Amino acid sequence: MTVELLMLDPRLHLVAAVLYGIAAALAVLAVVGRRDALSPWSRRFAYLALAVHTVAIIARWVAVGHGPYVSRYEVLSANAWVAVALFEATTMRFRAARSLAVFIYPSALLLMGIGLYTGPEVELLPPTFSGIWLALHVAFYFLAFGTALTAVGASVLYLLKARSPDGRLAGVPEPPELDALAYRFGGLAFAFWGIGMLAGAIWAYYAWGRFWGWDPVETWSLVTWLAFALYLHMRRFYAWKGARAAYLLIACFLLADGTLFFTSLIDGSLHAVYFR
Amino acid sequence: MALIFVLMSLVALGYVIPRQGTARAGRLALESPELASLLATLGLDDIFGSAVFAVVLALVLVAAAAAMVHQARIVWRRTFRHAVPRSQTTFTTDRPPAEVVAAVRSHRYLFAGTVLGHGHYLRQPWGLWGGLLLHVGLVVALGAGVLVIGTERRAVADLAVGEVLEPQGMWLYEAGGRLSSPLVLDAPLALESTDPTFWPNDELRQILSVLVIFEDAAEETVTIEVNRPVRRGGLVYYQDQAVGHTFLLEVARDGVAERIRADVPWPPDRATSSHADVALETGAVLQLRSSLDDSAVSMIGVPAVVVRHALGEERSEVATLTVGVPVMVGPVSVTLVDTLRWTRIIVVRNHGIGVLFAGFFMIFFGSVLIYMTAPREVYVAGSETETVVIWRAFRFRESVIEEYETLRQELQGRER
Repeated sequence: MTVELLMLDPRLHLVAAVLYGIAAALAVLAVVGRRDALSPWSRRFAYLALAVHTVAIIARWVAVGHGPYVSRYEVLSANAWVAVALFEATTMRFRAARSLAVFIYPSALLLMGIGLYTGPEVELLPPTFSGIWLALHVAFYFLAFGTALTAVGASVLYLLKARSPDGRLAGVPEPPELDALAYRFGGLAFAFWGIGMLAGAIWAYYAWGRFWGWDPVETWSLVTWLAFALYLHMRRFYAWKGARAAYLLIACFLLADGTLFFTSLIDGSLHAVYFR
Repeated sequence: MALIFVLMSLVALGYVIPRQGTARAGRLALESPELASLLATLGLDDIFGSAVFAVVLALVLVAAAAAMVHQARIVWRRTFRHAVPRSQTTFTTDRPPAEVVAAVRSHRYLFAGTVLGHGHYLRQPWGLWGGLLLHVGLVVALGAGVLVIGTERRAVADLAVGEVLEPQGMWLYEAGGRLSSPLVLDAPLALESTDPTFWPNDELRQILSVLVIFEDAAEETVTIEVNRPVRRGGLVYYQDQAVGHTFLLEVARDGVAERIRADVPWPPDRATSSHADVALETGAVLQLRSSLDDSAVSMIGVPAVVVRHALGEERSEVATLTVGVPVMVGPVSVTLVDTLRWTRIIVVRNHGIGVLFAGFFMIFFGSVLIYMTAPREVYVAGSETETVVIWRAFRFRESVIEEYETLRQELQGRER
């Protein structure tokens, strides 16, 4: 059973990636090509991709006996799943954000592609990898990445929309609304990142008897969180909005990507144990 | 804002410049001793432990406390002190006030009070408290963090099975905050057993150790595992990931024998040995190499151990140790007396952890309230001929302005 599930997992991931790709292509055609009728189809393919992706994650979870947070393949897959699921859930309420699909679906495809490229080899859990605080730690970082991705999508679309007054992005909300969406999701990313970091500190406390060790990932995680705090303060107290705020948020997102996916490769990082 | 930038820069700088005691600092000292010396002179080799960093953190705490007071005033004013705002989102309608109020309440607005003849209604008023909760959480977490760091004491001991650690323990390592005192156990403790388990690929899966605490002629058993510490009294006992075999040796030279304990780490896998050096009083070193027994069917089993004598560049032949059988390595005779297991435990004493966790939760709920809600208010005032509706969003106006338009259309209002 375990072997069958392990063999099924990458195939399901591949199918999900293809479906995300179709959803992404349809979303781009709908928004940029002004073919509104394709938008519902894009969502349908995204739902289908999410369903297959969910089955893939569950199959792997059952087979390897732990959640999707050990190998790079698992982490990227979980990031893609959370980003799309969060996007679909939030756009039920924030309908104006639906056109951000042109950013979210291709990002999911990219994450899945890199994950599949790195390979689905199974890594076993070190003894420190257990407990509710680890689960909260990784879950909130997934949420932080998903909300930051939505926020940066809004910022990128803001910049594109503001520079194309000829109506090429007619399906995209007006710039002020995109700006507000970026602010809101940027704030959520800040909150989720902070909680992920704090849950990680508590996990470290239980696992190693210390909260903080200035590990490369810990250090750059703090820098990233402070960068998001800077972004929120610039908006709140210095009335930064529009293009300036969008560029700052994009910089914060790049910093977050570096922290999440690259600092854990640095020698001497506790996180390198599993993420290399 | 400037403080956030300074703190962020200091943290980044603290990473870029190798910290004292790390491998990177060691490499820098070898490759560029002048630069390493200059950084040490300027105190840049330990930015996180510097007074400047502590001052910046203290200023952040003060700024967060000031922001907390500011937020408290804002939320109090907006929730309880009603003042009709000058808002551009205002319309009038012919509908009677009662009908307008019913429409407003159908949008889930709650009655907050009356001021100057205007009814005041709030939607998602709890969202107003998010900023205050976030800042209280920051202050609580920062304050508790300072308390924990200042008072925490951490000690590490490598214990062999059966070994007793006295209250004023012989710690392998002990460190703590500036306000902490030496760590003293409540009672002597002994390691009763330590049992590592391994994955099929030989990687460590878990270590379970049983400690016995001797208090007032009674014995209490405490079981710890990696990531599953036990709090007892004011101390927390942690299982570290270090485990191995203890080889009790009798080393004799010129008719004088001494007992020596050699803690060798557990072999990393079935095909690889682990090593440890033990210094002798003569200045020589006994080099031990431990591997799993020949069958190598699992990571658990009787370890095989070999030894050689090293003094300067001189190395003796390698000899295999067997319990009770003396072997000559160089000028000394070595006898393996017994083989035990050893493991590393960490004992921590601290204060304020509960408060710190409470601060974390406040930050979380405060952030959720800020960014998941968009509190807004409506004032309704009626005259004989018309009813005035004043609408205002406290934040994320662009996300909820649709509601104002809907309300206006429902009541066929005219923009003022």
